[in-house]
Amino acid sequence: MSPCFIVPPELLERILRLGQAADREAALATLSIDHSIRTNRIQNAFLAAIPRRRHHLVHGGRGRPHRTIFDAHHRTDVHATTVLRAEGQPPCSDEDANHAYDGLGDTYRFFWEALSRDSIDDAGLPLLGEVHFGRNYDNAFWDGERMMFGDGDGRLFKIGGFVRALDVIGHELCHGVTQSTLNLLYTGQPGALNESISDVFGSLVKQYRRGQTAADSDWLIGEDLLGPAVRGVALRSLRAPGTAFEGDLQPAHMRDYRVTSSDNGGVHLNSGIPNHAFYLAATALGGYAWEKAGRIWYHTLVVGAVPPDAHFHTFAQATLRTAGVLFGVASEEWRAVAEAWVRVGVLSAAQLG
Amino acid sequence: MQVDIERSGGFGGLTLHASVGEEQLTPGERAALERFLSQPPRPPSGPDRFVYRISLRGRQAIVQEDEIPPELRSLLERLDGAWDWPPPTHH
Repeated sequence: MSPCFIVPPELLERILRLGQAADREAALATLSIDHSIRTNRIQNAFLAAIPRRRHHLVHGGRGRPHRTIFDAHHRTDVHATTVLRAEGQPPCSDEDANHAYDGLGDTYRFFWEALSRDSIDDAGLPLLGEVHFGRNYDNAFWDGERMMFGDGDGRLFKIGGFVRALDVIGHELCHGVTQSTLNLLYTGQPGALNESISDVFGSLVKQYRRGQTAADSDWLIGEDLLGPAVRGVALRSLRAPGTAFEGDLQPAHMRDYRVTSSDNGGVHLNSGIPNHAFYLAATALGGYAWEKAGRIWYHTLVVGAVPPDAHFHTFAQATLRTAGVLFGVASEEWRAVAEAWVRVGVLSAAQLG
Repeated sequence: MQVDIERSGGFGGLTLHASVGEEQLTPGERAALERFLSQPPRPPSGPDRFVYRISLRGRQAIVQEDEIPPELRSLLERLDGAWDWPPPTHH
């Protein structure tokens, strides 16, 4: 059967090989919404374009992070101006600043080397972080411009734990990536997707740094972060949502989806469902999780054919379209992703056709 | 009467509870709380920020972390270390 293309495949291939970044992304979007595309030729052209893009950008001085770590001096009301360590400077006397600096570097390196993304905006956005945010502050967050790290209170969270947890830093930086791509709402299902995407890439940053395969990874988020008052091994588990600590209420299946008005509609609870789908797809495919499942999730973000108010099933369908473009419809990769979403109850076998 | 406060969200997503006697509120805290009790909730401040639910005499306010005025911040700072964890059902 001869596939039917609106745009001739030769033209798409030329765009993917020779076009500007914006043209390539448009071509990518065209590919992803065209369900008829099945030829090896166009998939190969698409795959070939991704490493090319990295080399294309290196000569512009990209591929290197541009980090600045500030001292918040425990304030929360204004952006800090005291620089503890800027890009290229040797370690400073503040160990928290050095950990934040290194974690941002590892996160940048993952997005660049594994996914050819040049920082949060794919245009080399400088990475700004503040340590010592607030007093005994039990949190880390991305404020839209900077990554803020609290010290922890020593009871619920270890002192200095947030800056030392690479998956926390990867998670926060990924909120910036999501903001500059799908811009998902931060409430209900789109909010839980937003959270899940940050957990998935936070875990991948850690796996990449450690050189771990999907089988080797612990699939935990925030281990070595919990203080003495919280009994458990981590904050979240992608392998077994709901088991990371005593009181972990994350579901792993749609039948256990939690309706709550806390936490902006349970965004840190229901993220367990898409988190587990990613884990199932990645472990079914084996090898390094960023090479197949991670690429499928990542290209689903950058292609952007997911609206800001997307529910789980909309995102799931988009990952299947991406898997079809990258690896072929009904390929092993496509089937692993489809099976994963079915197993967590987001898609039904009937919907897959 | 008691003022019941729930803190949810944050990177950790732990939902914590604390309460304080209504009579312990300063006039400034009382006025700030009253404003939040009589206005609709705002959309989330941003990813991984804390969200507070403050309940008093059957009324409740949802307050996003970045809209907390200094008058209420002092109340929340008094609660640091008093948050109830683990939740009673998991103890």
